[in-house]
Amino acid sequence: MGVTANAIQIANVSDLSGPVPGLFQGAVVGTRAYLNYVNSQGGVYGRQLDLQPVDSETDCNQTQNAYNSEVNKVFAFVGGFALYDNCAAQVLSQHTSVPSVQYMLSAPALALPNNFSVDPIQPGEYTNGYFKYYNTKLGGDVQHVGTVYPNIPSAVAQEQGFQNSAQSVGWKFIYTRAADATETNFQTDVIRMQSDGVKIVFLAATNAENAAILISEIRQQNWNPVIIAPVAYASNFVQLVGGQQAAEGILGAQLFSLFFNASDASAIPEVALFQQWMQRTAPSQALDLEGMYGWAEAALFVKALKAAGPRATRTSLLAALHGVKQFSDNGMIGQADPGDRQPTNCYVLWQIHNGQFERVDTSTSSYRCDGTMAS
Amino acid sequence: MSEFLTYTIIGLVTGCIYALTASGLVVTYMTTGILNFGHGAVSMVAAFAYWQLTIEWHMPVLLALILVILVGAPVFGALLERLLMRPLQGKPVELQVVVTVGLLIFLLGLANLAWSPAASATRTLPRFFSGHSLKLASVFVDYHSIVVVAVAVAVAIGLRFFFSVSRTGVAMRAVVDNPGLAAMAGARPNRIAQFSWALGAALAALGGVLLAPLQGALNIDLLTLTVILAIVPAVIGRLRSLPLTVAGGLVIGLAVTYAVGYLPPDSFVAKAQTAIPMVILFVALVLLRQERLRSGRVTGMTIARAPSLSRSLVAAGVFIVVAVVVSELVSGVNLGTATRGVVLGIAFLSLVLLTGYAGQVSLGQMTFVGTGAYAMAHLGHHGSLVGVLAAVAVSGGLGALVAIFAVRLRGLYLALSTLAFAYAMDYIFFDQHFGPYGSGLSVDRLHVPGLDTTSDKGFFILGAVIFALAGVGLLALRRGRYGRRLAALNDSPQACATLGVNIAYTKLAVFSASAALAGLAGALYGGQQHLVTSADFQTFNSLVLLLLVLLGGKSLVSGALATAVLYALFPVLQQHVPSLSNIQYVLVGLGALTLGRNPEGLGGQITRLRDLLVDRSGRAESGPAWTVEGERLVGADG
Repeated sequence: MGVTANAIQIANVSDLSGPVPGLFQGAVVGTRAYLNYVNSQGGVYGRQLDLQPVDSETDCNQTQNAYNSEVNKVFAFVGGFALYDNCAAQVLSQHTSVPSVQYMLSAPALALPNNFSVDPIQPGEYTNGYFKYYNTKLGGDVQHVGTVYPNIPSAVAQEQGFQNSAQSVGWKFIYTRAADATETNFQTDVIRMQSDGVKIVFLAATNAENAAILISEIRQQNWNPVIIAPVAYASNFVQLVGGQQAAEGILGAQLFSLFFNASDASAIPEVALFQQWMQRTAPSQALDLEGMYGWAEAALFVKALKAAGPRATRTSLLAALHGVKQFSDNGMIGQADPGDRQPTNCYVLWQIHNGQFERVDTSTSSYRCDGTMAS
Repeated sequence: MSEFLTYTIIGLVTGCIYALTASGLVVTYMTTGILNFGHGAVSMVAAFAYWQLTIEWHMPVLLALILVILVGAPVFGALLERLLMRPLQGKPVELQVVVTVGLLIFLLGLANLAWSPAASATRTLPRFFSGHSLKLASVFVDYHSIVVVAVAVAVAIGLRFFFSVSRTGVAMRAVVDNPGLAAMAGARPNRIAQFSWALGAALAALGGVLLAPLQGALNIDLLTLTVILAIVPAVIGRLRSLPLTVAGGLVIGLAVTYAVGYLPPDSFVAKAQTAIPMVILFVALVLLRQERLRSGRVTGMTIARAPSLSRSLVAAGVFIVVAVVVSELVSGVNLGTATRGVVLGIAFLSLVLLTGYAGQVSLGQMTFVGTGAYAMAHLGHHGSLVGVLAAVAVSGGLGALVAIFAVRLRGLYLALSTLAFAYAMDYIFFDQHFGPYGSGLSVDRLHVPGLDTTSDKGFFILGAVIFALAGVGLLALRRGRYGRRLAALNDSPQACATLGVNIAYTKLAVFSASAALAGLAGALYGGQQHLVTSADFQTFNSLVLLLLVLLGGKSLVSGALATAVLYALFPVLQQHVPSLSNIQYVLVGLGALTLGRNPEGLGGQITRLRDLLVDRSGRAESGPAWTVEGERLVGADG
């Protein structure tokens, strides 16, 4: 299915329209960029990889429609990003012979036997590596942590994972509020955290825009807590937060490379390749998280496709995906075990200095892999 | 004490933003009686235009402010009045609501085309006097917030003087009280209305330009939504008192701030603080004295003649046969879309009953569809009929509950109470009870012996049969005693009451019946989707639902069907013309904007055309197919 003598047809179902048009355009571009790169090298066993992008319209029904319309046409689904992937799971669960190599958000999608991902993290779990690191650096301050995150399903699940993991190594959250998704004024939270004795403000499950607003308000109050904001790794964050001075000293950690940094591009060839092919594929596309995952998922797919051999079938591809026990996309992401669905326990630490994201206590091209999964 | 003072200062600053944006709403409503649901969208477009001028085109700030607030917005407001709002004068309130909702959707679509949200994170507006702040009590307030407060106070005082001292202001108030009399005294009501829309748009633009820098990256939906909340202080000010509106804005700002400041951060209220203004709106609507409220006139402009029972049955039979043929010809995704169209058609029928027949407006009909789906998910295991009955009972009961509180409200205020209810339900119910982490609820399809409803084909036929039965039932009701009572209620509640009709009971019953029908649609909608999420039933979908019903023809069963067919066909068209997805908001908005001049909608036009042809061929039945307000014989069923 979806395979001819010269080509392999692949679908990428992502939210491209709806309330936020272009929401996950990066996922399509990232996937396409990797396939363009592979095709430029002659494809896989002489076959070109054709990508069919399909818009899931940020809508449950359209997500189901998109999968239903492609499931009997394409060889596999690769690199897609859809908010309603639980609706996709309804279709894919009825077609378990169809390989799916995608970053999924919901529990039903993550539980699919035919879905594989470079980061198969389950809702409510997360590696505790960097929380342990901050224990050693910040001492008793980790007993006084405050956080605000949006009260939307995916963010709540994500936050649960962060808090479970942090609490497993002794962190204590003394202020947590699930704010409405439309809130953009966090002054009251800042005052309240200040009066509650919060010493670390942790921002991981919110978005970069809201994190920037909250940090701006912290700065405005002349308050100086430690700010750990993994979510801040976005190319426009320094501009959002109000410039170099406001961003100075913000700490963060993540399970993938500093993929838009020139420093990581010079140290990790795969990051340079990613930046180069993203530029060639869609020069105006920002280097975002979805683009990075689209690229990495496509890389996992191609690795398994090569392992499945020149006469690959859906069944042999699924078997090959099961067989991928170690995958880091040549250092682009922390090493995980997609075959057994074990997420990575590796991470990179960074700090903003002079308006730049710089690695901290993590050597240039490597990861710290000292965490364990906590849930 | 210091903490209290701090929260109070923060609350007052927030409240000033509400007050400022609400002032524009009040100014336009005062002189034209039309509440502009598109006010937030005007603010949003102004903020984006200001960003375009200052950041993208590097225009000096002062020049950009003048161009946006003092030139662009007033011209736009004046054009709006001339082209869209003037034809709405004296039209039914639902039409006024829908046209301004159409404006909202049109501007949203236009903004999405002009400023792609994909790049929204790169668009930021700096605050005025960025980096400077002032310490008040123990809180640092930035200069931008102080500017907001100063502008809000200046606008409130300025408007107060304008309306009490200036010649134009006094004339505007005179027009509010009695346009005819004001015209005889030399005032020009149309010119004054145009001026007030220009002023309202300028205030909307001012609000947008001041609010946008506080929200981080410019966001089309967020800006629009925030300003929509300005309806709440406007209603607290009874839509005509600027001082009370300002007070209402401050109350909301303080309530929201105190909730986050004092309640446990993980408490329900702290999480759902965005719903607080709408809860206040509902309470305000219920508590304010109705006679002091000015509501839009419900004049029951036109109503379609209901066909006889035999003709209804024949039409229903033909429809079912066509549905069976379609189910043989269409399959896969397209059949699923068609089923969704038919099932939502039943929800459209629920609004035909409520709005078309009874002249009552619901801006929260999708909420009842959602509670129907919820009941089916929990009690309709394996397609049990119990689930469908529960869906009807739960939604019908909820409709009655809303009606009990809102029964004494009329027109616009009734519409706003349903909006507040739906908005609160989004946060209080749908976001909390639709699966862990909002993953959705699985809904089984209704099982009918002898029909394989697990197949898309079988379920489509079931949906079509239920739609046909609901349509026949609705027309029978329209022809009957209760239907005549609804028509009378639609015409004139006062006359109805004089004749001894129990208005409260009639309203309660029709609200409940309409909600029950929407609940039935919800049970089937859930079965069609298999999985429903809270997003399916958000308030915005309710506004679109009402808009589509009016586009189809609010009092026509065939109009509901036409809308359902178009609804089902649109995704199919989109497959062949992908660019349609980018302009669907613009198209729907444009359609709604035409309603001011074509209030009968698509179905009404088709019916008129048909009757014209019948008349010309000499086969016209006795009596007019459409009766115009003032000519209608209550109870005439053709």
